[in-house]
Amino acid sequence: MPEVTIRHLDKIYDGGVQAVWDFNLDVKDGEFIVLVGPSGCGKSTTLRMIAGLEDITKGDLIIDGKDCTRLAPKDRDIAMVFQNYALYGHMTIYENMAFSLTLRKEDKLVIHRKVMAAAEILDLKTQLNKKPKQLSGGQRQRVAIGRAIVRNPKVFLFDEPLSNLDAKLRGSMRRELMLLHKKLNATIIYVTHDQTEALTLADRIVCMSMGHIQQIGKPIDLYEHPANTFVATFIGLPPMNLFDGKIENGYFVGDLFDYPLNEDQKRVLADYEGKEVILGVRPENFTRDGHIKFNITNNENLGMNTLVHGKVEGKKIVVCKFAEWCNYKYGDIINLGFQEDKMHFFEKDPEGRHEYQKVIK
Amino acid sequence: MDNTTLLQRDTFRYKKNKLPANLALLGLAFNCLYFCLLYGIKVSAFGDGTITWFSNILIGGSVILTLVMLLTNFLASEGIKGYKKNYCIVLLVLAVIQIVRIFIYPLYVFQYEDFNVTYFWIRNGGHIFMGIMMVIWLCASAACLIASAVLGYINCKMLENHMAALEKGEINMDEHFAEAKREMLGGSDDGSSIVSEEV
Repeated sequence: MPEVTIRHLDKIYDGGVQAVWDFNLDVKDGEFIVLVGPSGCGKSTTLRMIAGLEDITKGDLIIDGKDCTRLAPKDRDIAMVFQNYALYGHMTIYENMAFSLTLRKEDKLVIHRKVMAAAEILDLKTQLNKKPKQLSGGQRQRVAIGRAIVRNPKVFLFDEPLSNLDAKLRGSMRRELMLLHKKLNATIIYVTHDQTEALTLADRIVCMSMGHIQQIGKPIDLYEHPANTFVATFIGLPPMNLFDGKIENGYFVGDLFDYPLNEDQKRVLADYEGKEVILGVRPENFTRDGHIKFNITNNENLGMNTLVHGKVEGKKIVVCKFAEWCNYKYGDIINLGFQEDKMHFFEKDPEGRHEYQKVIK
Repeated sequence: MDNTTLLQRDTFRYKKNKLPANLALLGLAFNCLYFCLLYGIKVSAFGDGTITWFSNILIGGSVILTLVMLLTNFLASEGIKGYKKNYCIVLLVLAVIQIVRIFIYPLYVFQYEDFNVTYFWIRNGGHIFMGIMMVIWLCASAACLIASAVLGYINCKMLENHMAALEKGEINMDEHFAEAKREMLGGSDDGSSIVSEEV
C-alpha cells in the first residue's frame, strides 16, 4: 500500500486563482519524492496542502490508508522542515528538539531518550546547550530536521530546506540528507527549485510548471527522456538546446542547418514528414565532427569539462559542453555534430506554446 | 542506580535547575510583600513621634538593604538555575537575614499600639494584624530561600557526580539511547554518523 496517495488535487484561492491542477501522485513507503519546478509552479502549495497548512479545494489525500483531506495538521502524523528553520531563538537546541514532544505531554524521560537519540544521529550532541543563533546554517537545519525526526512521523515534508545555505554548505547538507534518508528509511516529500538537488536526492522527481505536473519519473528518466520541452530545458544545466525545423525526405531541415536522420529516427518520425518539429540536444551531446558552423563567443573552463558558448550559423545561441579542457577564443569557428542516439524530437504545438511541446517517442 | 534515576540525572545536563530558581524568586516576591508593609509604617512612630536624623538614616539604610537583598536574591536565583553550587550559600545567608528581620520591625509593631500606618486595610485590622502579616511574609520568604538552597544544592551535587562519572567512563549514557536510536532508524544502526564534514 502506498504511504501517501494524492488524487485529483486542486487548489483554487479565494480570488479564483488556481495554483494546482489535478495533481495525482502515489508515494511509496520509504520513497524520496522531489517536487521541482520554477517559482510559482505550485510545488510549495502542494506540499502545504499535504501538511494541512492550506485547505484542499478538491481531491483526496490519503496518508497510510487514512483519509487526511480535511484533517487538522496535528492529526496527520507528518513533520515539516522549513526553509527558515523555524527554530525558537530563546530556547536551547535541546529544548527546540524536545518542543513538539513536550506539547504532546510525553513522559520527560521518553523525550530525553528521543532527543538524545536524534542528536546522536545528527551529530548534535555537543550543541544541545547552545541557542540557535550560536550555530551555523547547516547545524540549524540539522536541528530543524532533528525536531522532525524525534516525532517519528509517517511522512517528512521538506520545503526548500537548503535554500538559505551557501553553495558549499548546500552540497554537504545534500549528502547528509541522502544519508539520513537511507538511515531512517523515511518517506520524504521534498520541494526545491534547484534541479541539482532534485537529481541527486530523489528516488522520483515530480516536475511541475504552472500548477500542472509535467512529468513524474526517476531522475535519469527526466534527464534522458524528457516528456516535453519544459522538462527538457528545466532539468539539466546548462539546459537543452532547442532548434526549430521540419522533417523532409529523411532530413531535419532547420532554420539554420539541415541534418540527416538515421534509420531509427526516420522510423520514429515517419508520421511527421513535412511537419514542423523541434530538435533538442543536450550541451554534452554535441560532437566536433559535424557540418554545423559554430562561432564561439565564450569559453568557460570548469576543470573536468568546458562550457563553450557560441552561435550556430552566426544566429542561434547555443551552449556546448566538452569533457576536456578547451582553449577556444572569441571568434573561433568549429563544426558541430550531434550524438545521434541522444537527439530528442518534440512535436511543435500549432498554437505556438513553445514550452510544453511533447516528445516524439 | 536504576535506569530511571540515571536518565533523570542525565536530563540535568540539558535542563535548567528551574524548581530551586523559582523557589528563590518566590522568596523574593514574599520579601517584596514584606517591605511593602514596612514602608507603610511611618517610621517616626518608632520613638517619640518626631522625624529625626536617626529615623531618616534608618529609612535610608532599610531601603538600601532591601534593594541589595532583592538584587542578590535575583542573582542567586539565576546562578542556581545554571547549577552553580556557591549560590546556595548566598541563598542561605539571605534566608538567615529574613529570619533575623522577624525580630526587628514586626516586634516594634507589636510593641507600639499607637503607630501610624498608611494602609487602609491594615489600619482596620490593627497593629497586631500588621505585625502578624509581616512575620508571615518574612517566614515564607525565609522558607522559600532555604528550600531553594537545599534543593539547588542537591541537584547541583547530583549533576556534579553524574558528570564526574561520565568523564571517568563509569557510566555510558549512549547505551540508554541506543534503543530509541534503533527505533528511529527502523531497527538498523550501523553506528556511522550522517555528518560527512563540518558544516
